[in-house]
Amino acid sequence: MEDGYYIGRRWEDLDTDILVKIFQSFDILELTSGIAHVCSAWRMACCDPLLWKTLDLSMMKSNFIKIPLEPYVYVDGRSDKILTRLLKISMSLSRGNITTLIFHFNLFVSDEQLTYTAERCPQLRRLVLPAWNRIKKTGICKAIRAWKDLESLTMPGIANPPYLMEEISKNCKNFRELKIMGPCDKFFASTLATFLPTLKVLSLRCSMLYKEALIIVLDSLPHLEVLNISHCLLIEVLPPPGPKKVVSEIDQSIIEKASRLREFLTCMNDSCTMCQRTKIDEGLMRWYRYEEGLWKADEKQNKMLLNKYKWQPSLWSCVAKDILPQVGLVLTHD
Amino acid sequence: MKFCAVKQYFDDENNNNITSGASTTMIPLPNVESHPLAILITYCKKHLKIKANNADNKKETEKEMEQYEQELLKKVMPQELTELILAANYLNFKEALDFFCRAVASAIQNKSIEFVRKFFGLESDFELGEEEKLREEFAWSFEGVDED
Repeated sequence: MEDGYYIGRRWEDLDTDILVKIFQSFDILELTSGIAHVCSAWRMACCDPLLWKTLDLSMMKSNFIKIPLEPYVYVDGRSDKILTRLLKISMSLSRGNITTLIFHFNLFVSDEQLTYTAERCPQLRRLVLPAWNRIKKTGICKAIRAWKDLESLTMPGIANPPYLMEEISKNCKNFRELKIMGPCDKFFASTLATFLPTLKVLSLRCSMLYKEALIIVLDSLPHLEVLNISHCLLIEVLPPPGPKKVVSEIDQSIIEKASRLREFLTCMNDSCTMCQRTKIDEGLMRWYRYEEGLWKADEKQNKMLLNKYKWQPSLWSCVAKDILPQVGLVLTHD
Repeated sequence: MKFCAVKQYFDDENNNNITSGASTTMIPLPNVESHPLAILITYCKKHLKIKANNADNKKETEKEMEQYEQELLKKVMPQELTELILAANYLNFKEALDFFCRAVASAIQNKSIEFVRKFFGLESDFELGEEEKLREEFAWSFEGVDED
């Protein structure tokens, strides 16, 4: 029919911008479901860099069971296949434009899947790593070597940190931000001091933190600007035969050491839900028990919002109305 | 001003020093069909009315706009959405363009590739070899698709 054909022609001539606008509301599953297969103009729109700045795979979790032998998890074959195909299509459409990559901590990615992805994200700056279990030392090192522009890393806790930190220090010259979702002991802190002395932002929230590790961090990371130890279970190891003791408040010496930091974020409060949860989970947070996406939150992000505005009394009420609700506070009077 | 292309026209006219004493001016809009234009004008008027009624309350404006938009979607044929997007784009009417793009995205979410092609009146223009390769790449995605 004449009219139908006419509209079809005009739609094909339409700005790629509008197609990209429509695709921006799709999540990764929809974007890789065949939209790029409709016609060549649509495929071109699907490859637009605007759509691929961030690849958020945090809705992907493995279908797995725990087993008593290494790697201590068994991932269902189909679940693995789905992830591989998703990664292949995403890498094909993203054309090396991804700068932020987010995995879920319960996604058990294989070595092959990780290195395949790493090699196709050469401009990566921000990374949230998946679970470690199936990733070998060679795999993660190969991946780090592909990410020369890496600035920020969120990772699950790791038993043997030195090789990883060393690889980062050798390959990632702009590395400045680290978030560890796991315990931080003296060994870990020393490793950071040795290999990442230029670290600017460190988040250890909701984990077991040894006091001696905290002191090493404060003493040996001279470029540190932001330190987040909110809701941590702070542990002091007393000289034998003394036991390990949970510290209930931060002492003056630590506060003094931390005074040089731009931001020292703490929360050690028996009535705080997050503090209670860290205690119940004994410093190794079982995020799967709590609200979906809760693991992604970090106090340092909210603080950065406040820092955007210079302090001027006349601006206060305008700023407060915008900002305070976002950090969970309410303006009680004008 | 909502219809930025129309505003541009007025600005250009003023620059040419044409005195428009008449209250009705003919503005040429060759790329817009009359039907979608009528819908856009109604949308625009409604938007301005809701905004005026809820001068200080941004949330209330948003809520009422959402309700109106839901009602509007029920009356508009899915196929008309493409015309509306083209019209809103030509007229440079940002709010309407955003809204209709979202509506189209919902309409084609989780639908088969054939459905999407029919909806937009498109044909596959991939070469035969390319088509095969793509089919392989996307093979997994034919599961979990809604009925057309």
